[in-house]
Formats: sequence, structure tokens, C-alpha cells
Amino acid sequence: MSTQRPDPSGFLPLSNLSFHVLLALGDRRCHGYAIGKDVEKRSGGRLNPTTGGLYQALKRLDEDGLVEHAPAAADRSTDARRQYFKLTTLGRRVAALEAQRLHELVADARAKKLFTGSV
Amino acid sequence: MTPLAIRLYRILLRLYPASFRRGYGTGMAEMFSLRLTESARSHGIVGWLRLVAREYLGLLAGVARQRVIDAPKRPPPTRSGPRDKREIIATMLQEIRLAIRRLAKTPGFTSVAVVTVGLGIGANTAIFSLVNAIVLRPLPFPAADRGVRIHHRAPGIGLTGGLELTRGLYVFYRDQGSLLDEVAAYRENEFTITDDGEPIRVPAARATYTLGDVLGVPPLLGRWIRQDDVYADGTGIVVLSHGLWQSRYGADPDILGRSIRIDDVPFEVVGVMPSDFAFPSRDTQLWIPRVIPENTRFGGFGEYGVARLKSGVSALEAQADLNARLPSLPDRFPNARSVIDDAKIGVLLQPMKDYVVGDIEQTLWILLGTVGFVLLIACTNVANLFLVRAEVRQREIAVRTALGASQGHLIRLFLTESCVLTVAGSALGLALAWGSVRGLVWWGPPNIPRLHEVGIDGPVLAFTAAITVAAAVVFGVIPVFHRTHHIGATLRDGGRTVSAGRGQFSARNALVVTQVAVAMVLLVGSGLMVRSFWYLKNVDPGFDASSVLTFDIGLPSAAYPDRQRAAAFQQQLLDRLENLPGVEQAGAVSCLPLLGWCSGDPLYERGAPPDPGIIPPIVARRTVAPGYFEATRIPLLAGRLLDRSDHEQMTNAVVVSARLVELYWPMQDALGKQVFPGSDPEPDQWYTIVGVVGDVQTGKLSDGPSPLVYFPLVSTANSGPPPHIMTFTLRTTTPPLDLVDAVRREVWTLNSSLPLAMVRTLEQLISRASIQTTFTMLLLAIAAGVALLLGAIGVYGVISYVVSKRRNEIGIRIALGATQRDVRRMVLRQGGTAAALGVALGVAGALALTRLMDALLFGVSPTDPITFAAVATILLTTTLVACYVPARRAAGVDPVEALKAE
Repeated sequence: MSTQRPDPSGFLPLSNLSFHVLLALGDRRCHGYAIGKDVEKRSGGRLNPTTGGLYQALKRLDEDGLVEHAPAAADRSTDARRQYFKLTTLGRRVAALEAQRLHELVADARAKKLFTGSV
Repeated sequence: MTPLAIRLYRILLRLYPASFRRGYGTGMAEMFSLRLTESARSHGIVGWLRLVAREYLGLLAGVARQRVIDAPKRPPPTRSGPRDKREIIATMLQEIRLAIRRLAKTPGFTSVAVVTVGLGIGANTAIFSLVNAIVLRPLPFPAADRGVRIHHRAPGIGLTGGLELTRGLYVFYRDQGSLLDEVAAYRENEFTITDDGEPIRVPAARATYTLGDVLGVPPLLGRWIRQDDVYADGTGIVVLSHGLWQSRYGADPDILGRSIRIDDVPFEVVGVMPSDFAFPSRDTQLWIPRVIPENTRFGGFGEYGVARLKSGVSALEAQADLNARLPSLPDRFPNARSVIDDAKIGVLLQPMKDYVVGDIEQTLWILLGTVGFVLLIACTNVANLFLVRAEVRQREIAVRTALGASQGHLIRLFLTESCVLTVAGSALGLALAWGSVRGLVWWGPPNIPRLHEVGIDGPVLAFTAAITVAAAVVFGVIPVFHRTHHIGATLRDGGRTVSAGRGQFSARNALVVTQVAVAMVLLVGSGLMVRSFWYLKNVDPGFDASSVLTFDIGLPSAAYPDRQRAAAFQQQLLDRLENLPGVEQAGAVSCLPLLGWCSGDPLYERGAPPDPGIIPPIVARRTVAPGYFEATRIPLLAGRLLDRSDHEQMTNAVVVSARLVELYWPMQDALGKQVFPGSDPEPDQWYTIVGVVGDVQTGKLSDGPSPLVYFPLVSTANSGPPPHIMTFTLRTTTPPLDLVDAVRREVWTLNSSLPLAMVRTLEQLISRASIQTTFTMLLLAIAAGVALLLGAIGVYGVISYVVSKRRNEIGIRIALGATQRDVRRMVLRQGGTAAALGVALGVAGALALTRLMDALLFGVSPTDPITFAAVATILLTTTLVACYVPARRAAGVDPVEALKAE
């Protein structure tokens, strides 16, 4: 990895799919199938990438250093033969910044009375 | 289906750049298979299909992206930089999406086109998978291209080939064959395994240790036969097949060293062969050493021979080399002199694959050609649909052109649609092919070699891809060339025309003519096959096959060392079987009709020695137990049949077939003549002919009967095949196969270690004899039926379309006084002319092409006028019927309505 630390804000705004992938990996390591399921569930079925499309996104995130291949966890929750992904520190910070950005947008919307629900 | 879809996905994954595949390939394949399994469980077949289609498209889009857009940022090698490429791909993806959307708006058109293309591609893929596995792929042996089968011709006795090998020749070729790496000899036998469990009779081979070197297949476990292994003195070693090891010994890993009883003799298991080892046949379960010492006698032509050529040597070179050495054979084997001098034998080396594949190769190529024609018809049909579609959209296209769409853009528009359709069609075709190949392997008709190797693999997929592209181009390009050139005119009259131009009709007529011509060729081909099949079914086999049960009983020579004891057992069993309820008559023979030559020798007549240097014709030898002729109803033509006293009192009586009498003593009485299979017997060994029976078909139904001599179970010279392996024939009053259990009980009361082998009815034997013709006929008939149907649909579509375009013209004609009959006749004439032209072209094509099937035909010539006339009539009638419906519609046109619509 390069020693020069990339600026997380340079990745914003994230594409819809990328952000969903980062969210799916937020609290655990996942293999592709599980990420796909998570994305589909979280988006209420609006976002349902094909295997090819999902891995396309994973590859880009991997190249950008936001996610990385991860060994299977030692406990029984994972299967050692499968290929897992997890967030990198950079990925975590980018996800946080994106959430922050969206949050600010929602706050603006609320200030202009465009949106009245709670988050 | 799911495993096939996953396999295809894995293959398609290879399209990604290697770096991508290394990082993500496994994960993607795994995710795809998980999704597929889940979808099949919860969404049914429709959801499954949708998912597969979506995933494949997603994968291909990903490939396009990886290969072109996200390709490593190298300096552009040519003038088109990455940015251009990116745009091209994006446009392409966009166009594919739009094409799918357009096709989805016309579901009728789309589904008809996809099904038509799917049928064509499916049939081609299925037949190609057979061609690929049986003909193209090398045999599953290392250096299979160097393997040859050794056999001989003997012009001196009228044999052009098929004379196998002797022990002496095996030794001779091993010593003298300087262009051969190794020579092996083997015999095919059947043995009974009698260890714990039910005794079974299995096909086996007794092979020289050199067979391992010739084939070069290492055993899965243990070792192959070695030079110092012997089979004598009541003990030996054995190598098992993978199938036997699994089924009988539960794939026991400690099988090596275990002793099993074969024909009541202990054998030590020293090896297990891998599952794809199928030599000499798929059925072979055991290999036992056959020892042929250096000082062997010359022996009879009862061995089979194979050899491996030295690297870089052709079969013909090695054959010429061996033939040049043959004259020195009598120096080593003095009693082989007549084989050289009189029979004039010469060696023939046949590439092993030709031998294994046999005459099915030609059938398969013909079938592939046939389904190729079906695909052509399917493509013309779809092309025609596209033409209609293009015309309907003329206005849209004119507008596009007027707005600046380039020629290239319009071509892309059509090509994208045709590509999307063909890809969908080929997916359907692949599924059809996969299903039908599975079905065929499951049905497993005998006489089709290497059937277990058939499957859908890489080369088959490549073939499918190739014909898919070809099909897409064929029917994608036709409408493009046919595109209107008069944009201005089309825009001006708003798409209305009084009648379509001449050019459009002639393009359509050309399609009709092509379809009818191709259908004609296919129908003639299948018509000829149907007639061959009919003749073959009507060949008199020489016996009455209804209600006869047959099975083999083989007696181990350890327990029945001589013929007397074996004959006594067989007679005892026959007596018991005759008393079974439901059995009308019981008999036994050493080799059933239709199974081949089995064993044969030249027959000599007492007191009439042949001229020096002449060997009498070879006749097939059979040993029969009393009751055989009665049970099979082979008619007695003169004299008497053999009975029990013939073998009990060793009368040396024989019965011969009518064909033999015709060959040896035409127009004479054969009864009382004395004969012997071989020259110079002892005086008391001559046999006396006591009866003449009707001919039976010995080999293929189409070959005609061979001369036969039937010996009793036991006689002084014992010239008949030994009575240790006999096939019993029971004529029954109940359905034959119902008796099997009762028969087995009778056998086991006499000897509980004897299994019943090859249990079947004579009727099954006959249908097996014609199965290859049945198989070819069935496939050709299906292909021709599909061609006829597609052709009729095509003609109907074209004529209907033409009628609808000519509505106003017809209206004017009717207004001017044309009767309904005139209009009908006009339309029928147009269709009829095209059909007649098609038939004429088809006849010419069929005359040229059916010659290729001469070898498959029986009793009918490839230019059989009856078949040609019948097919032409059927085809013309079908086309006219297809034209009649639109013709009636045309005659019913209301002139007022038609003109008002303008």
C-alpha cells in the first residue's frame, strides 16, 4: 500500500451501490452472496445487482482501498472456503463521511420543510 | 439444469481478464450458484430462467467493462483511445437494452422467432455433441492415434478382412514388427464370480500382459498384468473394472490382495482400472492374464489383436512392413504353410478409432447435415418474420434516416435485435440439447459406441456459439439489404401503398423456394430411411420370435472338465425346464441367430477333396441341444432333426442349413453326405448329414443368411463349439419374461452357483438388430417433420402477408368483375409456382445428396422414384393447403371496404 494517505472526502459522493456495499460490510465481514442479499433487503428490492455488477463494484472499492479481502473468521460463523470482504479503515471513514453528507442534506431538506419525518 | 447453468457461467467467467478472475472468480461462481439454488427453491422455473438470463447478461456487461473501459491505463496503441471505446461500449449496451425493450413489445413475434431458432440450434447442438464425443474426440488412451487393430484378409478363401489373429502370429509380429512398439492379443470371455453374494456372470477379457503397454492406461489401484503372471493350475490374478469394484465390492480400498472365486477358482485381485477404461468394451469387468509362450503352436484365428505403432510411423507403413515379412512365417510355424500359400493371408492394420467408431460415423455426419438444413429453414422463417417487421417499420426507419441516422446505425439497429433474439434462442436450444442428450444416454441404444462419453462440453458450446453467430448474421442481414431505398416516397405516402413493389415479393418468393427445396431434400432422406426400415422389419429372420425366452448358462470348466459332463448337465436342465408350467418347448444352442458368425471353419466332403490350393467356403458352426429347432420354429426341410440319442450314442449326425446345401451341392440331395470341418479327419470322425433346416439370419438383418452346420452336444470328433456355454430357448405359452424366476429356481436346484446371463426374448434380439436403422430413421423423421412444419408455416406466412398487402389491388379486381374463384386461383398460382420451383430444386439437391446415404439404405435405391414422387406430392399438397387459407381470405375481400381503407 502506498504511504501517502488518500483524502477520504475525495471519494464523495459515493454511488448508490457503493454506499450500500460499505453499509453491508459495516459491522461484519461478508461474502458476495451475503452482500447481495443485504443490499437487496436494505433497498427494499429497488437495488438488486447481478453477480457481475456487484463484483464490479467490489473490485472498484477494492482498488480504491475501501474494502479488502479478508480471511474467514476463526469462529463457526463463517466458512473457511469462502471469499470474504471487510471494510478498511479508509473505507470506514469514507462511509462515515458519506453518511454525514447525506445527513446534512436531510437536515437542509428539513429546514426547508421538504421533509418532516424523523431519521 | 442448475449444474449446467453453473458450468456455463464458469466457462463464461474465463472471458474476464486473468487478474480479475484470480481475485473474484471463485467468489462470483459461488455467489451465482447460491442464487440459482435459492431461486430454484423459491421462485420456480420462470424465476429461475429470469435470474439465469439476467446473470449472464450482467456477467457479459461486466466483461465488456473490464476488458474495454476499465482496462489498465496503457497508452492507446491505435488511434482509438480508451475514451472512444468506452463510448462504443456504452452505446452498445444502450442499444442492447433498447432492442430488448422493442422485442418485448411484440411478444408474439419474439416468442415465435426464439422458439424457431431454439429448435434449430438445439437440434444442431445435440447432434454435434454426438459427433464430437464419438467421432472427433480421440479415444481415452494415451497416444490413441498410434493404436491399431490387427486383422487379416485372405483372398484365397474369399475374405477381404475380419480374420483375426492366431497365437503364432502374435509371437511372430512381436518379434518381427520393427515398426511396432508393442503387440497384444486378447480374447473376450464370460466368467462367473462366486464369492459371497449372488453369483454373477460378467464379460471379461483374457489379455496378454502387453495390452497394458499398447493402451498405456495406468491402473487406479495396484498394477496391471505382468509377464510372470500365469493363469493355470487352478489359481491366478485378476484386474477389476472400476464399475465392478464399486458395485460388488463397495469400492473397498483394501481390495488388493483379496481372493475372489471366478469360475470356482481362486483369483487374487492385483489391480483396479479407472472408470473411463473401457477395453475391449464398456461391459468388460475383469482382465485375466492370457499367457502365450514363445514356443506356442500356430493356433486358430480366435485371438483379437491390437498394437501400438512406433512414433511417427503410419498404419500403412507398418502394414507393408509386416506383409513383407509374412512369407517367412512357415520357417517358424511349418503348419502355417497353407495359411500363406492357400489362404494367401495379408495383415491389415486399422486405426483403433475407426474400429471402435465403426459405421456410425457416416450416419452421424448425415444427421448433422440434416439438422443443419433444419436450422437453415428455421433461419429463413425468422428472416421472413424480420422482413415483415422491417416493412411495418418502414415509416419509422424513414423518419430515422431523415433525422440523420446513418446507414451503419440502421444496420446496427437490425443486427442488435437479431443478436438478442439468437442469443435467447440459443439459450433455449442449449437447454433442449442438454435434455435430449441426457435422454439419449439414458435410453442407451446398443451398437452406438462411446455413448457414455457424450455430453455438452467446451467444444460443443463453442460450436453452439459459432452457429448462433452465423444464424444471427443470416437473418439479421437479409432485412438490412432489403431495406427501402426510397425514403422520400415512404414519407410522402405515409406508408400506404396500393401494392408492394415487385422486388419485395421476389425476395419473399426466394425464401419460399429455398424452404420448400430444403424440406424436399430432408423428406426424401427420411422417406428413404422409412422404406429401408420397413424392408428391414419385413426380412424373414428364419425363426418365429414371438414368445421365446432366451438366457445363457455358462458352466465353469473346473467343475465340468469334459463335454460329457457339461452335456449331461444341460440335458438335465432342459428336462426340468420342459416340465415347467408355461413352457411349451425347450432347447439350447451355442450361439443365437443375429449375434454374428460366432465360430466357423471350411467344410470338407468325404470322397471329394477340393482341388489343390482351394479351400472350401467357410461355414458357421453351432452346437445344439434337442428341442432348439422346435422351440424357435426353424423349419425342417428334409430328413430329420437331431434328438437325444444323437449325443447320447455319439451318432455323428449333423443338420445343415439350406444355404449350405445351395453352396456345396446345388440341385443335389445333401442327405447322407459325409462332411468334416477341417481336412483329413480320422475315418470314424466323419459326420453324416441327416437333415436340412431353413436358413436363419446369422449377422445383420441386411447381410442375408450364412451357411450353417449344427452339431450335437457330444460326438466322436467333438467339432461343435463346447457345450459349456449354451443359450437356452424356451417357447412359452405365457409372457416369456414372467418365467424368469421359475427358471432361475430350476437352475439353482441343480447348481446354486450358476447365474442366468443375457436374459431376453427373441423379439428383443430382433429389435436390437434393427436399432441403428430405427435410430437413424427416427431422428431423420423428426428432422423432416420439423422441416415440413416450419416450411408450411413459412409459406403460409408469406402468402398471408402478400395477400394482406394486395388487399386494395384485389378489391379493385373484384370491383372490376373478378370472381372469387379467379382471386383464389390467382393466389394459389403464386404459392404453387414458388412451391413447384422449390420441389424441382429439391429433387436436384436430393439426387445429389442421397447418394451419400447409400450405405445406410436397405432394399431401396438412393434415387428410388416412388419415394421421390410420394415426397413431392406430400410437399406440394402441404404447400397448397398452406396457401389455401390466405387464398380464401383474399377471395372474401369486400371491394368497398378495401378501397375505402385507402
